[in-house]
Amino acid sequence: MPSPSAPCLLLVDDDPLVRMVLTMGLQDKGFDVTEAATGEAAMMLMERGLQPMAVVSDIDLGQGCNGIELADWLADTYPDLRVVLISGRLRPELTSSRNHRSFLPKPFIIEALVRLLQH
Amino acid sequence: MDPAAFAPAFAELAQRLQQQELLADFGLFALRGLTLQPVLDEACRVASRGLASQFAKILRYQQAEGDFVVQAGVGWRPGVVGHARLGADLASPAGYAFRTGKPVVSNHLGADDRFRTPHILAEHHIQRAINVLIDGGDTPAFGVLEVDSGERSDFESRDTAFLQGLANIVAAAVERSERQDALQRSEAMTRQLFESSPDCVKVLDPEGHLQRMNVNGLCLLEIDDFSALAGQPWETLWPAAEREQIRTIIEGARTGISGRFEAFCPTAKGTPKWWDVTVGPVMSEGGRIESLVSISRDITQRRHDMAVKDQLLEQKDLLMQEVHHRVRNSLQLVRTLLQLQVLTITDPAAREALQEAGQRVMTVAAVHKQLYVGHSVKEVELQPYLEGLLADLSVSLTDQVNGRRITWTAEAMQLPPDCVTSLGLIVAELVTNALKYGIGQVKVAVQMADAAVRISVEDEGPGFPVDFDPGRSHGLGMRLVTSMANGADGVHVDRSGGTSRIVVDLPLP
Repeated sequence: MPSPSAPCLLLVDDDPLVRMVLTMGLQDKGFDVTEAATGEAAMMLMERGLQPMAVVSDIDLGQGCNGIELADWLADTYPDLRVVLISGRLRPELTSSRNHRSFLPKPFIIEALVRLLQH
Repeated sequence: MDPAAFAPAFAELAQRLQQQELLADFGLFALRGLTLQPVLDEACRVASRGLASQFAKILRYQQAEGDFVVQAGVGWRPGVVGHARLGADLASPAGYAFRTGKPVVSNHLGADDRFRTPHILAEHHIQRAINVLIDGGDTPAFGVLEVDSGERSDFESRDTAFLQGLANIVAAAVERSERQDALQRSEAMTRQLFESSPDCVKVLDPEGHLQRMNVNGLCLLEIDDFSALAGQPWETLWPAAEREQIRTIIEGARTGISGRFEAFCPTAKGTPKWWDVTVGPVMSEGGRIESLVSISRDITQRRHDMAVKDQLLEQKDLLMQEVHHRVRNSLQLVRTLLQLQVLTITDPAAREALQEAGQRVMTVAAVHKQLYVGHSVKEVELQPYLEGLLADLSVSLTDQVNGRRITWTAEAMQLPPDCVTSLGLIVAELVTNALKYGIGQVKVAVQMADAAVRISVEDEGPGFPVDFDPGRSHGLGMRLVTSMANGADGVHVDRSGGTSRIVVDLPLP
């Protein structure tokens, strides 16, 4: 379980099961994870003062804004914030679009995600 | 001298002058004649008058039957002209003239050993006959012009000059008539082609003004009255956006170059339509461009079908993307659940089993990834698959790797997905074992070997123990490897290099 001083992550994924197990996996790796099911919910959390060390977001988020749009908004609003985009779709062209942004195709092992976050 | 002595000469002179006059008049008549039969009828009348004989006829040669038919005539009983047929052999005066091309004069038909007297001539009590050929110029001869008499004095060889002159004018009229017929047939065929085309066919003048349009074209363009459009520039039928293109293609056709384009143009009544348009020049015999022809095919349905097909393909791609997305999400779920499970178990053997299971999930996922990335769902590119698989293995087995290098070489090849999945599981198993039990760098090599894919994994260890038989291993991993290699014969330890090297032959399907 994360300690009180654990690094905070914001995890955005519209699939509740995937979100749940990724949260558990990241918590096991020592992260304090805040979850959001949509891009809008993630923006609201950020506007209310959440200060994560990084945002991990699925690209396909169902209705509403997608992960790319969320990442663009974060890049404009929080230019120094690291963003890791994850997706079951393969979109290699997205990986180099903006600074502080990485892409990890699903499925991945938690260690691979942790390595990206610590890089 | 007695003036009476000159009487025959004057009579002769008068007859020849009359013949000349008759020829001149007939020449004019023939020139003005629009159809052939009146010319043939008149020729017979002129021949009869010119040679002061009651009978004259034109015999037309019938190629198929090999005989003559009386095509025109004067003096004959009803039923002869247009119906009677005569032999065209050399034993008949007409046949002789036709086949030899020489005029034939016979003043005593009954006593002339050269010829038999044709039945029609005998019936009309004909004693004398004169025949000349009606030549055909470039085509086979038309027939014979014949003048017959039962009363007059003998035909003279000078009479043949008049009759041949007449026959030559007839021949010219026949030739002109045949050319007109051919032209009319050609025009009729062109008109039939023009009207029978299912496309919209337009004839334009060289400047691109509308001259004619076929009936199907009027229907396709929903034009009720072409007369309102005749003489208008063709481009005015098109939307403004297409007119420059029309002008360019007309300019090209005017220089002899045909052009083609596809464009949108609604009909006169506003029905939206797409057209496949070809424009080309129509050249005269002298090579001058007389007009332009534009053929517009209605391709609205084809365009619609193509749009539907594109839409269906797009939907299929979206569906495939969604399926891949779901599959990879599910694989992520399974992989992470196994990983979480590991953390709750203290038994090292159980932890290792779960880690291996998680690795096998990733191995299967790697094949799925290559299927998604590649252009075919029937074959997978081996090299990128192997590269991705070993990269994933390096991350998931970070502890075992511990700074050791994993290198690979592989021939470029495409394999069926099932085969690649098996290959991936074998490589993952052997590399995991090499990292666990071996030392130093791990080398993976894949190459074709007859009807199998040969996989070798080698580390820098001193070699497997002498009693190590991979075919009899009880571990799940090696059992899988042996099974996929079609039995123990497909797996062997290579002790020749002094290193730990295991070789597996994976049979191709």
